[in-house]
Amino acid sequence: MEVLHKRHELEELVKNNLLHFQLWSNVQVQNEYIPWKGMELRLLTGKPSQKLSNDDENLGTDGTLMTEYILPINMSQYKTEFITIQCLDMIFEKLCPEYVKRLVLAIVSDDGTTVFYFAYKGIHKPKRN
Amino acid sequence: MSVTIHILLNKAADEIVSQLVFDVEDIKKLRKLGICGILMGTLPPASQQNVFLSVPLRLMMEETLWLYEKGYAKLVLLNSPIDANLASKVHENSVKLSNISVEANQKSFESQRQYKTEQHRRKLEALGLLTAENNDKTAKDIQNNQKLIESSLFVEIPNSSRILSLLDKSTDEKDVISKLYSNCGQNYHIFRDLKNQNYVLAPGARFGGRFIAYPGDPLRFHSHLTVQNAIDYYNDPIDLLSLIGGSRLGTTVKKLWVIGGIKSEKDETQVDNSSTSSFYSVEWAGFG
Repeated sequence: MEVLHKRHELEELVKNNLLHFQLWSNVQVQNEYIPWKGMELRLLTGKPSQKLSNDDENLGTDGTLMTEYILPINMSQYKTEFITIQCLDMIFEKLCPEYVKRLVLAIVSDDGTTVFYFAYKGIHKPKRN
Repeated sequence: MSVTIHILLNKAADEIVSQLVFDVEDIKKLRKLGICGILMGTLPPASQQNVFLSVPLRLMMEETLWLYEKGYAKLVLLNSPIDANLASKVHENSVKLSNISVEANQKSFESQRQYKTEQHRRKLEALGLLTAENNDKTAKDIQNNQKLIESSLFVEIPNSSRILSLLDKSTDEKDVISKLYSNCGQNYHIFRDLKNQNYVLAPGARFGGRFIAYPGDPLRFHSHLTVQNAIDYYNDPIDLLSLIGGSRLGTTVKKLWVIGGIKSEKDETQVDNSSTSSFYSVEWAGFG
């Protein structure tokens, strides 16, 4: 039986993972949300401990890394989570500042394993090594 | 510019099996358009051959549709004659066909004879053997030589069938095209939108996708994208397991996993429907 985490559990789990396992800083759950299939989708924001991709420029005048926008989702083998392309478009439109090119998908499986993927809007080139 | 695409039909099932291009010049033109297809011709005694393949070039359905929409494609049924029709045509035209072939052979022999006699004469001349005093001897030699020439003549097998050319190969293009549209479904929109962004697409099964996309000619670039089957923009969920698997594979082969959602099913035959797709490119973040 697959266990689905509730939204707030997911958010907390991903936040803890980023803060204490990936050693990110300033990880916060945002207040703004979009309603989606009976859920309230909130993003997390945070700063990684090191540059995530060689193609990233250091934003911000203080030379800090750019803030990442993280969407926690259940890895649902049976498609219960129901994230569509429209949903991603809405998230980009309503929950992210305009300059944001990518979301970090934090995909949580029922045993708590969390994996992170970049989702770029549109067609994007592979990162340089 | 026009390219002849041969449509191979399974008549019994009324299904299109494949779209083939046989003309090397046509294949060159297609390459310039960023349509690469897959060469699939083997040598008859080496049917297991899988390198150095030759014509015909097999096109993807999407490639055929795109070429047709752009007005480059001339569709010809490849196997429409392979039925009872063929036997009757051969029967009706047997005398005519035989005459044509005898005539063609005679013509070919005559030109071969002329060519070879001339070559021989030049050779003797170059060797200084064609002088006035041994003219008698060379005359005899020439006669002898004629015999040799006669036995060296070859029968030319024409590249195109004379029988097939008798048959009506006209195609109901509309019918073929609508079949292709229904076979591709929404993937055609994905293909066209990426093609409009100057990507060259090839079949993507090797990397677990519908297409792989190159930023230019496949001989000059590595492919950047593994493009998945089209999903509905509003209703189809993104399969997260497939996303994870595809993107994880992509990190080792330097490809992004790309998914496209199609906004609405517009009139399929309408050529100029603007971009209705929205793409996302996914890659592993490098941690977790």
